[in-house]
Amino acid sequence: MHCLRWRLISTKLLTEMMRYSGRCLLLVVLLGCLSTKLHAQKNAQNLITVTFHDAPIQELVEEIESQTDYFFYYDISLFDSLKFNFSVSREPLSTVLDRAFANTSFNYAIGPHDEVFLTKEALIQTNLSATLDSLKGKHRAYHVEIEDDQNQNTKTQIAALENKLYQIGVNSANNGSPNALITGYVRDAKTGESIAGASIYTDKPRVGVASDQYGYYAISLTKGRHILNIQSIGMKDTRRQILLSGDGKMNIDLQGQVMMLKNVIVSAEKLSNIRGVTMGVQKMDIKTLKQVPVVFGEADLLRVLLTLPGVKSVGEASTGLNVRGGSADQNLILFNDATIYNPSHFFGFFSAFNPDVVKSVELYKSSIPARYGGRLSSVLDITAREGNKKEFEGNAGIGLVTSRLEFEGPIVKDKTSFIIAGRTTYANWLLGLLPDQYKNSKASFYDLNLNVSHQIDKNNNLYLTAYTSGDKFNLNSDTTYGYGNTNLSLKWKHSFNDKLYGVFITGYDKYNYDISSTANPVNAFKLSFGINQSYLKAQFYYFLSPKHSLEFGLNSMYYVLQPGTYEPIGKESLVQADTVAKEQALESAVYLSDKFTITPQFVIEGGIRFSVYNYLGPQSVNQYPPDVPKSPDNVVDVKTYGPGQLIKTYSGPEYRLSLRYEFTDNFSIKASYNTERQYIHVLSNTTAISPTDIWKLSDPNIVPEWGNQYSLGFYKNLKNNTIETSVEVYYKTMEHILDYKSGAVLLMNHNIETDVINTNGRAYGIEFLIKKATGKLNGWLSYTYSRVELKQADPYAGEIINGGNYYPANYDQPNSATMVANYRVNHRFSLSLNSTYTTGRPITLPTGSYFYYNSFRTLYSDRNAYRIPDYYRTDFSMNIDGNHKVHQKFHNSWTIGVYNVFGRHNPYSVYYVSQNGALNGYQLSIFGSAIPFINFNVRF
Amino acid sequence: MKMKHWVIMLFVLGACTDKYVANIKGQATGFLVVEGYINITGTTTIQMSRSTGLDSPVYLPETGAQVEIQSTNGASIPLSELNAGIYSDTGLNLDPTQQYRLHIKTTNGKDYLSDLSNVNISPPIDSLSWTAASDGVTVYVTTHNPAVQPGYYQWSYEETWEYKSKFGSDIEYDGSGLILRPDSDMITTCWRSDVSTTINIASTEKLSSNVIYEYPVALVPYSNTDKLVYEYSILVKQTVLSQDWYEWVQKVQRNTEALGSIFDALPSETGGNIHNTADPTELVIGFIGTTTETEKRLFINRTQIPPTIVYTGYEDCTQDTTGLDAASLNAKFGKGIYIPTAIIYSMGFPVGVSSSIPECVDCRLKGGTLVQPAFWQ
Repeated sequence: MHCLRWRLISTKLLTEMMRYSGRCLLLVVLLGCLSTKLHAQKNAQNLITVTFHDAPIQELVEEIESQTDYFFYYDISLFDSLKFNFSVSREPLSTVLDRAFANTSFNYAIGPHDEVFLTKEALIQTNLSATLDSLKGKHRAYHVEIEDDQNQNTKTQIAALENKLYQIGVNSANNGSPNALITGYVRDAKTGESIAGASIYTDKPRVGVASDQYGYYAISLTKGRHILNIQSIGMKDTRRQILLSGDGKMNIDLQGQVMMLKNVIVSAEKLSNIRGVTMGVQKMDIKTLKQVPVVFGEADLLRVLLTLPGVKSVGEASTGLNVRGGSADQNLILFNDATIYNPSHFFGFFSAFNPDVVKSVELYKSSIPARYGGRLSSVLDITAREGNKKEFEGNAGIGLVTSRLEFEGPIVKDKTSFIIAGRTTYANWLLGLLPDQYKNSKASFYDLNLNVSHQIDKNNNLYLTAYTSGDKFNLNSDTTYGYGNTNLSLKWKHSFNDKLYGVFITGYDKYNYDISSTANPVNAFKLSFGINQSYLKAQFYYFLSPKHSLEFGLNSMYYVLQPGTYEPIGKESLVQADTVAKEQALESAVYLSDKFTITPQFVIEGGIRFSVYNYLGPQSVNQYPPDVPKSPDNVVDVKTYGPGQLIKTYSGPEYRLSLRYEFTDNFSIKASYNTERQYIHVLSNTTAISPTDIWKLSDPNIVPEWGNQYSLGFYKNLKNNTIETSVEVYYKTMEHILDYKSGAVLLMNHNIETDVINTNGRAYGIEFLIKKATGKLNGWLSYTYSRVELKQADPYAGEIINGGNYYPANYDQPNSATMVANYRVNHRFSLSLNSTYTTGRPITLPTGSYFYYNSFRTLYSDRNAYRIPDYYRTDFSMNIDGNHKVHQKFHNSWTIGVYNVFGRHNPYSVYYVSQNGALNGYQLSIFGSAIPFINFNVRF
Repeated sequence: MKMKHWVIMLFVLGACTDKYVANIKGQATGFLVVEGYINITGTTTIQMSRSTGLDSPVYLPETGAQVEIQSTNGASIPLSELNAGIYSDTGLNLDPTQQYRLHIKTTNGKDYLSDLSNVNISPPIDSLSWTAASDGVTVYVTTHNPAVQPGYYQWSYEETWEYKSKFGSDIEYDGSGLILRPDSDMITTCWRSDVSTTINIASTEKLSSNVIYEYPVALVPYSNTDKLVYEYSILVKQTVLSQDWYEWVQKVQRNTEALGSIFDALPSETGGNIHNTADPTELVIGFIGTTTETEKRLFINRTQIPPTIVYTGYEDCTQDTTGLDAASLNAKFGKGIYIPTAIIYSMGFPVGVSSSIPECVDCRLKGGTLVQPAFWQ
């Protein structure tokens, strides 16, 4: 048995123990016993003979302990300046200590079992109960040093870590700087996985940073003693006492929050709300994501994002996000740095991310860090988990539509870990309920993830991310649709020194779809579309000084876009093979940003990103004279370019500026200005983003999109930071958004520029958010008023949409309110309620009818002049956990709930069709009833 | 792309459609609508009307207009108004090398011209074929034209079917008693016709040659219609369009027939190639092109269809029995509410008469005619 040797116990801990817990008392008794055993009677009278010359406290303690049965409890840091110079001969302890602490503010107390407590200022009464009240509020954090911590219970360990004084850096006089830099990783103590977004801060002075996606942090503080507070969502708050003498490293392990009920008074997220410089950023961890009820009960991160202010979608069948008036293709969706072009399964009902692999999600909708670019509206940064570095574990889940399996563990303990996960559907049973003629229908999807993280040494880490997803559906065995993402990325993180580290990423992303039909042998065809991109990114993070932390880097992405191949299937097929020429382009950017802390209250983050886009051959490009509509008749010349030949270059700076002024600890104002350029666009003539939409690269005839956004936000935290509130306003303009002409054909179009129109847009809005992240009752309430309007900007398009005036975009939903509430009844049972209201989206309704081809038919005029009825939905779910025994092999949980509790027929669209000669108007609801769901999860 | 199927799938997921009536201000009424094509060999029919509001669609024929076909060689052929808003000329035989357009002068003095169009020649229909599935019969058209590629086709059709009332009647009540029904007064077998109300178009743009193989032109369901109870016939008419004409028809189809899926194309404005000569901004709905027309007829007899239950429309019909005494007969048949169907015999003696309501006995009440069409076989 390992014996535990306590030197000192914090008075706080002691008083807490005495006050609350019989069990803790037992512990103290046990400890007492152990020490007693070890220090068995050495000197019957406990008389002491010592001589000290400049002796530190340790020497004094060791000497006395060696001669007597006394055992000392003390905080070594309190005594670090104290040196002893005296000698005594055969004196009792009290005399010795009186001598030692004469003329100092130190006190001592001797307990009934030969414990000696050394304190500063406060006098410990060994008759504890009588003096508890006098001790209250006076205590300091005391030092407990553990020499052998192999088999201790975690609770003791945390207390120990929190109370230990860490000496950081070498105290060398020749370094005159008043500041020193602490760097290190924040990790999960149980799994060894890095924790992103943890906030590390000191209260006095108020300095704070957040760990990056690798868990890495760097904080610059004045030399001396500090208490570092570390907080992260879903983890227990902790702190570290440090004595900072020079630059140094400190890794911090955080404990998971097993019991969410009592812990966490302040969470990191709330403070970052006030202190972060970046505005309009929403971060969520997987625990939050899993609480929100969604249809079919599968945790779905895109659906949860839709509950946030400023994030909308055209309807329930679509996971295409419209962020602050942007279209769905203006979001950069990154999964561990890999671009995901189609983030949904099953036409858009599910998001394509396995909740077991996702660690956290960050959505930047206003100020976008300079390292990101290429999309106008937002960046959705999804961080995947790394896998448990210490032991093997797994998860399995069974739901109505999907089931999933996840397994993770160390390859080399504490160094290399993997996580592998897969999901698949068995939605075919749903299709089995269809009428006979659809019995041959099939729909299936899957996704697979593999992440490997490897620590080469303390300065080098490697991360491998592999992801693939596939969807296939076939209705009535007529036409088969399939699409999939494939992504592979390799990341190398290298620390050059304490102040500079770099991340080097290379990877390959692919998205493709195909449509095929073999029902008619003569027309049997396969149509395919694909995007391939390979990229290199180098990102550097440089902590120049406490006032400046820099980020710079460059990245380059090579696109190969296959706009469409159409080919016959089978010998009988007369389909003529046709290929729209491949497109190539190189998008490169360099960026530099500086986070300038002018005062702890006033921080400016300024960044510039210069992007260069080259459209490359081989390609044939139609030439049109200026000032005429781009139509096939107006092509004056076709220029042909050879492979790799430069066809067109677009370039320009993008500015990213944000600033924060913190008026008080819980109130700040932030402002930002952002510009963005986008070189790849979705062409779609459907309202919802559809799996058959195509992407198009900018070329000489299609100029890049350009947008800018101004925003201003007010952030106020209430009730000891447990409630956070914010108001953000924004105004945004967008140029060269692609719209299409009436009746445009987008697939297999060799002259696509003739069918699209340049559109300008403007969007503005105000977003209110009240959030309570902790406590039995937690959740958020948001309200947004926003508008987005488009206007045809192309006078030569040949067709003037809505007379050239502004008209509302498809996703213009002025009023929107959301409530997400979770109530934790006890440790094993929680309830969630989710309510959403939005104004109905605009729709083009017929304004008249005419008789043609023996049927009444509808006549349309202005685009989006009407709205579908408003949308309102409430969902409810219950999470039932099995027991929380830590060492149990299997932990299971149930999620049971109802989507659309009131069974409201929320309109997805309204349309008129000619049927049997008559004209009928319909309102289509995706989910026309309450949908119950149940999910079973096992963690092993 | 069969987007419609996706909707079906949604129903299973709990989706539903409800009737919707929009409250629309400022309805677009009164636009001139011109339908038809210039058929250079045979009958050209141009149908003109005005658009109406959405809430109460009515057909408003445009009468009294002067309509003529104009040719690039200077010829002009006036059409005469056959019925209200229907302008026609038969027996045309025009030069296929010329271009043609339509000139319209409405009674309000406005003058309209369609764009000049080339003559498109419709090849013969190679065959009409059909297959029976569990829900109904699909009729396919097959054609080809080696002379032109690509080909843009549009088909319309006329269906005619024979059907019989639920109860045959060989007797009738003459006011005093039952007499044998004369052959000229038989009301059991009828023929009814209908025209296509949907747009059927296809192109061979994506194919290596101008071949249309088994394009599904019509679906005849077993339910909701009695077309397949006895004998069914379909006359498919084929016309060939120019590319811009085809694209216009496709747009009309997309705007008016192909909506209601989750990935709907956004509806767009419907204009055409007809313009007011004085005011080109006036919206005129319609596209006038020039084509020849070919046609083919197909018969399907019930005996050719796999045994299945076909809707007859007479599912609720029942018969009564009445005594043969004059009082009973008068009470039953005197007011014309019931029609006698057959005499009931017992041991060789007439004991009563069976009868049913006219809707179950007189086939004409379902919209048909007793006259067998000339083409019937």
